[in-house]
Amino acid sequence: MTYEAVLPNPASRGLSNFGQPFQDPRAFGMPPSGAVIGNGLEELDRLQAVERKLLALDSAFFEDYSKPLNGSSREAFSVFMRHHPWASLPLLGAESDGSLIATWERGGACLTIRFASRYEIDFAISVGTGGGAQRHWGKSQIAFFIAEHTQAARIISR
Amino acid sequence: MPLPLTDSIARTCRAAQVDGGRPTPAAFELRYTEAGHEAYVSVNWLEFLHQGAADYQTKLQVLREWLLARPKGEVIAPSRNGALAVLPVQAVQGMPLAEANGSLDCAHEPRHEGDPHSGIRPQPGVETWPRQEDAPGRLAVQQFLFQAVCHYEAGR
Repeated sequence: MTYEAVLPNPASRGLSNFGQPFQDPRAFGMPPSGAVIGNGLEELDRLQAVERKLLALDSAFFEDYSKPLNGSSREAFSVFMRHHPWASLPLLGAESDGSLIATWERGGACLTIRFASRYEIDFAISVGTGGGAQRHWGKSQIAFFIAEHTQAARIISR
Repeated sequence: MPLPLTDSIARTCRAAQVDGGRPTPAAFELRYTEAGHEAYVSVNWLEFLHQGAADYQTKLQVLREWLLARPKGEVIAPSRNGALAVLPVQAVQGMPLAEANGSLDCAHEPRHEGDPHSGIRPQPGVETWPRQEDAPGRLAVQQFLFQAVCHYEAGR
């Protein structure tokens, strides 16, 4: 079983089940988290697109369940997108309890994140397709997830 | 009753489970409640309502009309902002879920005569699953099913 808990020892955080040590995002052609791609207008457009996605989901969720999305989960997704300006827009949906589920696909690889709380996420990564796909899942924290999982960084990059 | 491997099933996706018309992994939630996990993901068996060769659009239209004719509250009615997602039974049952507590089976679960209602059921059953601690494992199952979708269209 490849279940991965968040371990308290920071030294253990640098390895995923892919056995890949932490790499600076710049090592594979992406700016570090917090940097802005292009000019400020481009980033503003991206953040506005994120907000439009959230508003559309607010409306759809209320239509389905007559209650608002989970506020902590919604805020966690918003923070994640603000702090990873090189992240592409994901497919976005919500579970019955109002938790947001974001999914990115890139070249046969897929990353799905459940924003479980303000700080914690559940994630599932698959690389390849069908029976030959390599799959990996676990829990992590928004602040550390991308730094710990280089495969995830590649999948979400635009 | 297990479904034939050559057949297909359709999941009715709510508006919040769809993005830009496409079903997301949220559509395949195996809900966890105070009573425990739901036993299966509810779907409908397409070939139960439409036997013989036909494309997915035709089979979904037959299902759509059947769903919309049901009494209110009996089924999740397909909506304009929702979707119907088709999965081949073989793809679902062929998923290698050894690391996620087993495999997935598709079985007919009729609530009354003439009902195409079916379920994607984890094997062994959810009663053996860890509780909340396995939320990432359940997310991996949802991702499996999202990737198995071979066709989708608007609910109405």
